[in-house]
Amino acid sequence: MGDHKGGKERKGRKGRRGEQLMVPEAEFTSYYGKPILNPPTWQARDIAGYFFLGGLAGAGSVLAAGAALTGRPRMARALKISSLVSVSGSAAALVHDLGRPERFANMLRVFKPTSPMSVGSWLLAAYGPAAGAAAVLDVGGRLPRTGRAATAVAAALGPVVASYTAVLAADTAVPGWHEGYRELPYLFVGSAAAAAGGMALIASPVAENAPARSAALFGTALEGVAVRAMERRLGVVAETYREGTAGRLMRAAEALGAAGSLGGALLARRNRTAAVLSGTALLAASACTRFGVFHAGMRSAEDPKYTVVPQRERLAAREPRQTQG
Amino acid sequence: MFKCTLCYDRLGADQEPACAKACPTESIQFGPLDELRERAAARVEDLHREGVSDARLYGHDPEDGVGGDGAFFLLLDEPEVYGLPPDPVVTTRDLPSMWRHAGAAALTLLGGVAAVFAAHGRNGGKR
Repeated sequence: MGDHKGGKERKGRKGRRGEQLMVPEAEFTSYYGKPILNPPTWQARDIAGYFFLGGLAGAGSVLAAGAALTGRPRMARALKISSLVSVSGSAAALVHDLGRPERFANMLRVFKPTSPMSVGSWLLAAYGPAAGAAAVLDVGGRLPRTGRAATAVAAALGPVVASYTAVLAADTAVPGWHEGYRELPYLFVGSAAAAAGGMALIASPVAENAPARSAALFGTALEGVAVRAMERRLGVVAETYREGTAGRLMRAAEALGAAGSLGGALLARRNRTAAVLSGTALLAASACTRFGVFHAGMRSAEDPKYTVVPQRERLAAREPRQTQG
Repeated sequence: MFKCTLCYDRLGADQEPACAKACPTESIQFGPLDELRERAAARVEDLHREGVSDARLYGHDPEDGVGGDGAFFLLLDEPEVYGLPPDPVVTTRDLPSMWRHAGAAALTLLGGVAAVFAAHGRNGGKR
């Protein structure tokens, strides 16, 4: 970004100063390419991991309830266990991000709808025990009625656990996340459904995995549509999803998701190995998506271009008469 | 990191904030807002008359996307040249819409998975 020196090049200032000859017209100006935003201090492993595990747990609880209601007990049990493990993992990631376990308890001292983090803490505090009870009571075989209630509560809260993390990212000034706030929740629940479908393919017998194959297809398709819609809306900021680390991760996610969902749909009906491989690909795809979204956002915060250009476009669209920009 | 309190302790002793007191060019000014606005507008006009047509105020408008800044600036160029965003908007303005989209996405997930299970029916009792 070294070529965007402060005040030297500017857009739309043709002929204002004679000595501008050698410099190609830059699209934007900045203070020596320094970022305008402070990028989040979030660690990829904590936050992208939290997104991934929360999605896997939340969508898994919905699939588990569906499996339990339609006579697929082994799939239901496997998904309840996977949801318990992943929600525990996401709580661990959250605590690691906060720094000390007590801070999670401190998060529960207020409820603040204007803070996605507060809403998420309460959500996790309600969903976690429900998912845990559903898994423990299923494995232990005790209190079947309580178990069913816990399964239902987990299935009702699960989709919110999977989608609210999109608000967590979008309610920041990070252009790559904020500008895509309309599509990001769909992207996240699609990715979550694909991951949970993948987990179900890995952990349940072929006789029961038919809905898992369809759920994986549904999730992958939803994610694909959301990614495309978001990139269209993001304009120049969409570059951050196509280039560098994020670009590689997003492409890997797309390839793995397609391979996993199609492989699962075509081969997992009879072949257990194919089911496990497809499921693994789907889980990997979901993880790649979350890390890709994370890195794209960080990249969009670190480069002033993605802050300035969209805001300039917004100004130009709002006040065409004002030419001082 | 901590937020500027405008030297609350000094204000209590009828003094101006330390930064304004110490500023050798008196670029940092402190005072009643109306007075500051007046002075700033006059200064911008002066600069324009002197041919500094890029002079403008930044963060002075309570109607902008962030409700005006805690301190406003007189800039001699576009805000981004100073590392400032040209049209900042507070992110929480879109928060209600964000929650609505997240809710709709959650229902999409719930509905999609329900449809999947409805389509496949009970295990064993295939269509």
